[in-house]
Formats: sequence, C-alpha cells, structure tokens
Amino acid sequence: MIPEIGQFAMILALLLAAAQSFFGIVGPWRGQQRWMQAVYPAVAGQFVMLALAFGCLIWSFIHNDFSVRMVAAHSNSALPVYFRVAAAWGNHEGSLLFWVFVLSVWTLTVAAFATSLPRPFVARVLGVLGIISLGFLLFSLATSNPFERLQPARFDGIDLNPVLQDFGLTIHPPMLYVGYVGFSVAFAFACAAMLEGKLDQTWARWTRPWTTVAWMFLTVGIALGSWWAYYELGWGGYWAWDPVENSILMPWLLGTALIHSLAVTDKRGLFKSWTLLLAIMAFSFCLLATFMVRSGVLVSVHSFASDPARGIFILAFLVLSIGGALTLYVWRAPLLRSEAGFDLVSRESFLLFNNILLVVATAVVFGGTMAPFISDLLGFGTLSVGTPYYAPMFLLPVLPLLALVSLGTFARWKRGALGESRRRILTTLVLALVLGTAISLGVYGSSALLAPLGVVLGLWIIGSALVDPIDRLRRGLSLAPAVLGMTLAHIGLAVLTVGITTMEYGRQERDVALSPGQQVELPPYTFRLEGIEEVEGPNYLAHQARLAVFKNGKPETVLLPERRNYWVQQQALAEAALGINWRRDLLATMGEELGNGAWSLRVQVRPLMRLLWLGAALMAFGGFLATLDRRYRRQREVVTAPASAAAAPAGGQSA
Amino acid sequence: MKRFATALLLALVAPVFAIDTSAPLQDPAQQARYQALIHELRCLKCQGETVADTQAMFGEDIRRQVREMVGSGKSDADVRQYMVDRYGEIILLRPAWSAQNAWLWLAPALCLLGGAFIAWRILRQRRSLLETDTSEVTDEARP
Amino acid sequence: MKLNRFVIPLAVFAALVVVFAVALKRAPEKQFVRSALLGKPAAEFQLPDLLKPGTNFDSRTLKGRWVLLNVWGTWCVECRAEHAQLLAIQREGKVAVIGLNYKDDDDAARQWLKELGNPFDAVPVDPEGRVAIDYGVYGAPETFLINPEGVIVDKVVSVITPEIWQQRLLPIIEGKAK
Repeated sequence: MIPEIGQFAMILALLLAAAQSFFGIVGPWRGQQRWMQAVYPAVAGQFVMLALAFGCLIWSFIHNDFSVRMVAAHSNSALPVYFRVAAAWGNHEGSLLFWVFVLSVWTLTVAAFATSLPRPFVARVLGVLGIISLGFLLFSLATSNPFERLQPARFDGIDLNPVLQDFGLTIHPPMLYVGYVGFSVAFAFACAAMLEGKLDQTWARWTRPWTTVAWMFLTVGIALGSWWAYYELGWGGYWAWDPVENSILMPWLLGTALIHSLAVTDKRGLFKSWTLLLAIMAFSFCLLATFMVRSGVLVSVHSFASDPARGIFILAFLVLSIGGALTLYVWRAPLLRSEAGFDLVSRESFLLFNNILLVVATAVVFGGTMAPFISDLLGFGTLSVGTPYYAPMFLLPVLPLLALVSLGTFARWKRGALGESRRRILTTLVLALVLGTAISLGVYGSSALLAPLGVVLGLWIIGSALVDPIDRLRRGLSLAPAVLGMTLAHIGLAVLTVGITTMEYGRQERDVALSPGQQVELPPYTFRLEGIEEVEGPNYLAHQARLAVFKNGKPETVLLPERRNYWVQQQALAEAALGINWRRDLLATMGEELGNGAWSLRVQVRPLMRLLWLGAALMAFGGFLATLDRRYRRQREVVTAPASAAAAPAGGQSA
Repeated sequence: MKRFATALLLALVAPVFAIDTSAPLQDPAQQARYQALIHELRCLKCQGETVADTQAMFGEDIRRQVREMVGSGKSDADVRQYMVDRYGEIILLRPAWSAQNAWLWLAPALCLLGGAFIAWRILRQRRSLLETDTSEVTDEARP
Repeated sequence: MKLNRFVIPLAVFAALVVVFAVALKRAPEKQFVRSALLGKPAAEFQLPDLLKPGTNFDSRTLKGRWVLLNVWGTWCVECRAEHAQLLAIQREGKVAVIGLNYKDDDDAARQWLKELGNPFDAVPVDPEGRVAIDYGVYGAPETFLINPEGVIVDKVVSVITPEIWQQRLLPIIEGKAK
C-alpha cells in the first residue's frame, strides 16, 4: 500500500512540476499576474508530494518491505536501521528520487526567501527549476521507478553492499546532493536573467548568497566523500581521480570561479558574460555528472548499474537543458557590454586570472576524464588516464593560482595600488619562505621540490589573508561577515595545501607478514602485533588484530583492525584501524591469514593528514559566514525603493 | 593509559586489498622501480585500482611479472611495452607519450597559453577604458 | 543572431554530445576491454596436460585447425554457466576446444570435469597464470578464437552463450563474416 502511495505522489509531483514550469515561464512572458501567482502553490505542492514519496520509500526500507524490488536488492532484515535508511539513497532509483526531493526543497526555499525580488523574475527562476524537476521526474518514472514491485516478493533482501555499510553513506550523498542540486538555483537565476534580457549588479547581488550556500554544501560533500574513501579503501587513498570523483570536482572548481566572478559583477558590473557562462557551466557539469554515473558509459566504483536506455534519456535531457541555456547565452550575452575599466594590476585583474586558471583546471580534469572516449572515437584505441597524469597536469594551473591568491589579497579594486602594500607583501612572503622551508625540510625531511613549495605557498596565503583583518581589528573596526568569511575560506585553502603537500611527501607505508609478537618499524613509530581475536558483529564475523604502537619506544596507542566476513552477501572486507591526532594519522589494515598464525598487514604513517579535512571545513565555514553578511538582508530596501518612486508619479493611489 | 584512550579507533569498512608480502628485491633501486611501476599499471579486473593495491589474482600475476622483469635487468620501458603488447594501452595509468596521445599531454599547457592570451586581450581593453571610466567602486571594504 | 565568440560554448557542447552519443552506442561492449592481441599470432606454449599426467600439451599441434581456447577455473562461478554450451560446441566438431586451466588446483579441476563432463580436447594447466598473461587474460571466463594460421581473430570476455556461438563465432569460422 505504502509504495503505491509513494508512486502516486510522484505522479502528482510530476504534474505539479509541469504546472510550475508552464506558469513560471509563460506567465511572465504573457504578463499574466494570476499565472505567476499560481507558481507558488505548485512549488509547495510539489514539495509535499515529493516529501511524501521519499517518506514512503524510507518507510519501505525501515519496515523491510521486500516486495519492493529496490528494498530486496539493497537491504536485509539483519541490516541495522540507520543503514536501511541510508540504503534508500545508496542506489540509482532511490538516489534519483532523493535528487528531485532535494531540488524541491531548494525551490521551496527560493520561493520563501526571494520575496524582495521582482515577481516576474522569481516566477521565471521557479519556472526553470520546475523544468529541471519535470525532466528528472519523467526520467525516474519512465526508466527508474523506485517503487517497482517484485513479483513474487523475496523472503529477505540480498543486503546492502558491505562496502557501503558505513557511516559515510548516511552523510556523504545527502551533503553532496544538496550542493550539486543547489547550483541549479544559480543556473535558474542565470536563465531568468537571459529570458528577461537584463543582467545587472542587482542580479549579481541576489545570486551570490544562493551560490555560496550551494558551494558550501558541495565542499562538505566532496570532503566527506574523500574522507569516506580514506577509510573505505583502507590503504589511505583519499582521491583517485576516478571519473565520478572528477565529475564532482569540476562543478566545484567552476562554482568557486562563479562565486568570485559574481563578486566582480556585483561590485563593478564587470565580467557579466563570464559570470553568466560560469553559472550555466557549473550546473551543466552537475547534470553531466548525473549522466556519467547512471548511463553505463563509465565503469567506475561509483557508477550505478548501467543501462544505455537510461543514458539516451539523460542525454536528451542534457541537450534540451544545457543546449537551451547555451543558446539563450548566444542570444543574450552580446548585449551585456560594460564600459568599466580596470588597471593591469587590480583586484579585477587578479580575479580574472582566478577565473581563467580555475577554468583551465576544470579543462584539465575534463580532458583527462573524456580522453578515453575521445581516443576511442578517433580510432586510437582505448586509453586510460589515472593519477600519474592528473596530479602533475592539475598542478600546472593550480600552483600559479595559489601564488596569486596571496598577491591578490593585497590588490585594490580598479587600481591595484600594490606598490603601497609592497612591504607587507615582502614580509609575508619572506616569513612564508623561511617558515615553510624550515617545516618542510626540518621537521619532515621532505627533499622533493614540491614539498617546501606547497607549504610555502600555503603559509603565504595565510599570512596575506590575515594582514587586512588584523589591521582592521587593530584600528578598532569591526569585521564584516563577508570579510571574515573570505579570510577563513582562503585560510582553509592554505591549510588544505599544507596538509596535502606535507602528507604526500612525508608519508611512510609498509606491507608485512607478522605473527603475534613480531613488529615492524616506521621511524619513529613501531607497530607490534600482540594477538588476533575473533569478534562478532550484527551481520558479520571478524578476526581482529591487536597492534600496539610505540613512538621512540614509548607506548603511543593501540590499533584494532579487523577482517570481517559478512554472512549474507558472503563477502570478506577489511576494516582499517586509525590512530588520529593533529600531528599524524596511523593506519593499519589486515590482509590475509598466511598460516602458522601469521597475517599480512599494511601499516602507514601519514603526517598532518587531519589538515586536509580541517582545510575543507574552514573553507565551508568561511562560505557560510559570507552568506550572513547584512548587505544581503538590505535587499528589501534596495528593491522596494524604485517601486515606490514609480508609484508616486502614477497618481499616488495606494493599491 | 590516557594515550591509549585518546587515540581514535575509527574502524570502518574497506574491501580487502592486496598486501604485497613477497620479499623485496635485493637492489633498493630496483625495488623502488618495481614499486613505481606497479602503481602505474591499472588492474583491469577491478575498477580504478592499481595493480599495486588490488587483491585480484590478476594483480598478483602482474606484480610477479614486473618483479621478475625488473629483477632480471629489464628497463621500465621494456616492462611497459610488454604489458601494452598484451593488454593494450589501457593498462597504463599514465598515457604513453606518442603521436596519438600528444594532444592529451600538451592540452593543459596549451590551455594555459590560451588563457594567458585571453587575459592579455581583456586586460588591454579594460586598461584603455580606465581613462573614460568614472564609476565609483561600491562598498570597497567588503569583498 | 550574429555568430560571434559567444557561440563557442554551444559548439563545444554540441561536439561533446556527439562523443557521448557514440560512447552510449558502444556502451554494452565497452564494459570489457578490447583485446590488444586481435590479429596477432597466438603465443605458443607447452604446459602439462591435466588429463594425461606426465605429458605436455604443445600448442603448435593446433596449427591448421580452428581453435577455441577457453580460460577456466573451478573457482570461477560463470565458467559453470557456459559449460553446457562448451559441451555442445565440442559435439558440433567445428573447432578444437582447448581448456586452459587457470590458477587452479589439479585435483579440484579433475573432479569438476568428471562431474560436469569434459568438453575439452586437451586441458593445459597454468597454475601461475604465466601463459595467461601472454594471452592478455585478466580473469575468467575468457575465450579466444584462433584461426588455422594461429592468429587470434576474436576474444569473448563473458560467458559463451548459444547466441554468441551462433551469431558471432560460427560465422567467422565458416567464413561468412570477415
């Protein structure tokens, strides 16, 4: 019964999405006030229906309704409840419904909070969001129905893939989707502006907070995914340049460029066509990611079960939505000329470099991801591209970018006046050079060129970012949330850089065969295997090793890696054990029993690993702070002023 | 005791991956080359794993093959060619430098140059507009 | 609508769509890697024969006949699924069916063939997978079609179904496909 309700709710949502699209786009076009009005109930209704549908799905999972095909395929009665809930979005059909649901939440939020924006504009935005929702709902109902019944029903499900039975599954996809889908708002704002034929500084100011919030969630989502992979893979890998990982990195890079480009458009009315294009591209890459994961075109640890029929549908949707937006762009962008100027060295020019370098970085990742397809198409055979390509090539635009972040912080709008800050620039640079080299070479002994370079660049960013805020605080001035947010976000980037660089060049790793009583050394740490024990879990049986870790001979910690056997799916999985503190991560993973009580083990020491996640967290938090700035709340006054000024000459009659 | 307690034991699930417990090569330079090579070869049976990390039998066999070749004095290029002859270019995670792949390796640098060109054009134009530009910068203090 | 630099994104997108459309069309086969050895001579080998202990099987004896070289193991679940089809192919007598026993245990392999029947004309044993590497094997089941001149003309990286035999392999053998 419940699945049928869910199914019905989805169909209703589809109809409401169609209504929302129609009224949202045609209403303003035809100047029909009533139609524009009608968009709001459609938005609210769609949200309610999708909440209901998603609720029904979760219900089916929690209550082990194995007559629903998806529940039978991805769950099991022995599965702990929280995983049963997470299993709802751990598969293609469910995650798609989740996608649409998240979109309806964003749409509802826009409708609720954008009250100070002109009605026709908001209607268009909601209309565009409606079209996207319509497309996804059609796709879902036509090819990927989550409520499809299984006849005859199974007695019990075949369990969630043990690889997914992890806390990460409960938070990584939701965060990611909120971010991903959130870029649809910037996209909708861009389309609305193009439909209206008008794009000015006010538009940029409206778009900024929405974009920053989406970017923030995407940052968290990616960081969580990387964090999850770190444990999941067990050998400490946190980024594999997997095509699907790349597909979420690219919107993030473009989103970062978009945030910065919006700032320029907001302040000086410049970069309008850049900003517009970035808004379109950021979301386009989100849609592209959806295509890549679900169409069967890619084979990846992330990809869901493949089905070319689905691929064709998504491709058609991409053509209509992205193609449509880009066509609008061809039509409207030429009208967006601005006559403002800026100097060779100015904040604008630095942000121009920022835009370009981020786009180049995106192009590098995109090129690598598409290379196998293109090579195949040209008849050059099947190519494969992995970390040995991506790592050096990605650094090509990114290293200059990191340097420019520091310099750019000192530049002023319009005429950079870097000369005035010469002393500060030099001081921060020298400090960074000295400290960075000392840390990199002295503490961690990394001799490769990139090791001190990365740390120096990171420290320089931190120094540069702090100069202005500290100066303002010294003068007794308050710090606007926007300034604080920007500073924190840049510091977050720097922390991330220092962390990755030091960790990559300073880490140690050994594969060994140990019997109880034996040990292995990764100076200054010693790992000693004390014993192996059998342990039982809710749906598995495991061997657990007890590894005592010593630093310079003194006891440091105990690690308990496991090798689990999940009895339902008959799968063996290794469970990494981590010893964490700010200075380093210690990892231990079990391999196999080698006979005579000996086991194969991998042990690792990773200095400053925590800085990766701290850096990401700071970036996200910085973004959050920036959206709290009160200038966004001043929108109300900005917009109503012209309206009342227009009403006065018209006769002064109150409506 | 406190040290033990402060360590975070976050045990989360991971698929079993290969732990290479064979004896390392005598010559440390060869061992280093072996390590580098197995991280450059893709496991074709699995998705996104290197031959170094995979538990698949395929991985074991390839690692053994690489170890034997390096140990017997073959060069890195020999090893790569051997693998490519049998499995195709797809086994290399670092695309080989060839006429067909040149575009992939040159593309990033070319993009950078293209970007630099675009930047130069825009900067020149905006610089010249500076004379006639009387606009004020709004809200200088905030980003 | 004047054509200017703003049309570049749209043009690039159009090119991309073409690439994806082609990739989609090819998707079902693309799940598996296309063999690098198609059109190349099959590697020669001498390996012990499972069913004739003490003797070696020499691949050179196969010259002059069409050969189906099937890579299998008792640990391979899907090999069981294609076993019936292999028996049927052997009965048709159009090709020599050779079963390369890959990374397996001799006793288990003999037991398996006793229980399920033996579709193979010879069973060379490759416990370490060395010969398999020469054939670009990365798992089981994999099956190679080798022509009388000893050149590999096709490779099937999945279970041999009656359809694959009838519509893909047989036409090549009978000269109806190129």
